[in-house]
Amino acid sequence: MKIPNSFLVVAVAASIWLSQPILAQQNEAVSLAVKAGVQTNRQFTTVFDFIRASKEENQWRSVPWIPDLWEGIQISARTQKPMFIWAMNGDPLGCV
Amino acid sequence: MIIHKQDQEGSFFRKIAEQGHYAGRTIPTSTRQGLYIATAGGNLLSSRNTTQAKQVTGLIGRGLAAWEKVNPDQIRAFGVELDADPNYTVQFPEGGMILRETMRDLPREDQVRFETWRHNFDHVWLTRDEVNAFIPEALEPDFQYSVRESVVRKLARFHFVDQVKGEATPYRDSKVKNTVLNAKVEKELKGGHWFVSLNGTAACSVPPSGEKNPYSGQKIRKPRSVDLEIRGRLIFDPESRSFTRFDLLAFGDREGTATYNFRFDDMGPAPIGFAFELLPNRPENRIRPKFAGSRYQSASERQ
Repeated sequence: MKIPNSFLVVAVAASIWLSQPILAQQNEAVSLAVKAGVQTNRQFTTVFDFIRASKEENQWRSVPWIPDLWEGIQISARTQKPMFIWAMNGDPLGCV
Repeated sequence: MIIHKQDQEGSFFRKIAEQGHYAGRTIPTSTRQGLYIATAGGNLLSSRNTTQAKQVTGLIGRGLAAWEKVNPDQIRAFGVELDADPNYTVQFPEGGMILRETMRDLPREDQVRFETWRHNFDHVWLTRDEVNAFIPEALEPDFQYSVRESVVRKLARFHFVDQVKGEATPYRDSKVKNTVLNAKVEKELKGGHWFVSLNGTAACSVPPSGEKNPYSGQKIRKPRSVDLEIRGRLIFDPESRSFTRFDLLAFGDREGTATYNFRFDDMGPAPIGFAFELLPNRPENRIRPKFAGSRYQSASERQ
């Protein structure tokens, strides 16, 4: 199905327009839970889920990273494929 | 870290890095962070330090184009046997537990538009002995106990560190105070599991180091601290004497900056949160904690 460009633009604009109040509500819920000292299970879940990475934020985990460089070298040689290396001061799969 | 390893793996990385975007650089720092496309023999095909998707796809395109021209010698592995540098080898503790840590700025009541998308991760390795500190001695509703303080201090020193926007150093044991973590057996769940709640506090503070950020030239003139409440929701399986859920939350205020955590313009106090969740003990999850090393491994050992 071919989607006209104008439809797509409207959909994106709508999602931005809708997301602002939702974000504000979410932020308010987190602030209230923190202010209340996170006493209930509901408050705990509100703050805990806010901090954890969302599905979108976790998309980079869907790449089958090889955490061991030496193992990556061996696999690259065996499969005759180039290596894509992500090197950071910390562990890229952990704290960078 | 890998750049300092005195073994074949370190040599490989130094070889490609010294062909790359930061080759030979020592000022403002000697970091070699970035993305590299290379052959198994250590020939660099392309590199860049970027988080911009368009630049990454450009890097991949250049790398793949260069790959078409490599000769078979360059595809051969740099080495086969690895005599790993023991100074950088950290073993996961047998019978231990892995938690994934996520840290993030919390919303600010006085700044409606404050962005909270920045976050960072770390991994916690708890030894079997440290896990045992969370296990109740009696499984009956309202049974209360305290988690050993040295275990809480380990979490505070190495994991209640503000690294949302960049790196910071851990706290020394002497800089940690108010570490209390009380546990309460709440109720029995289906399947003979038990729900346990945690309540506690921890605070850490270091005086201004006077260090200067080499990029901005800004100097650390104020103390760096966190003052946190701790809450937990755990599910304990008495049969396997293990936890099937281990949700831990620390929240409160952070203040000050470290040399590289990019807080010079946001000194606080401002709200921050740390969330910890259980990961299955599988090889792919055994990501080394940021501050893993001898001090980390022995931090909570009984005196």
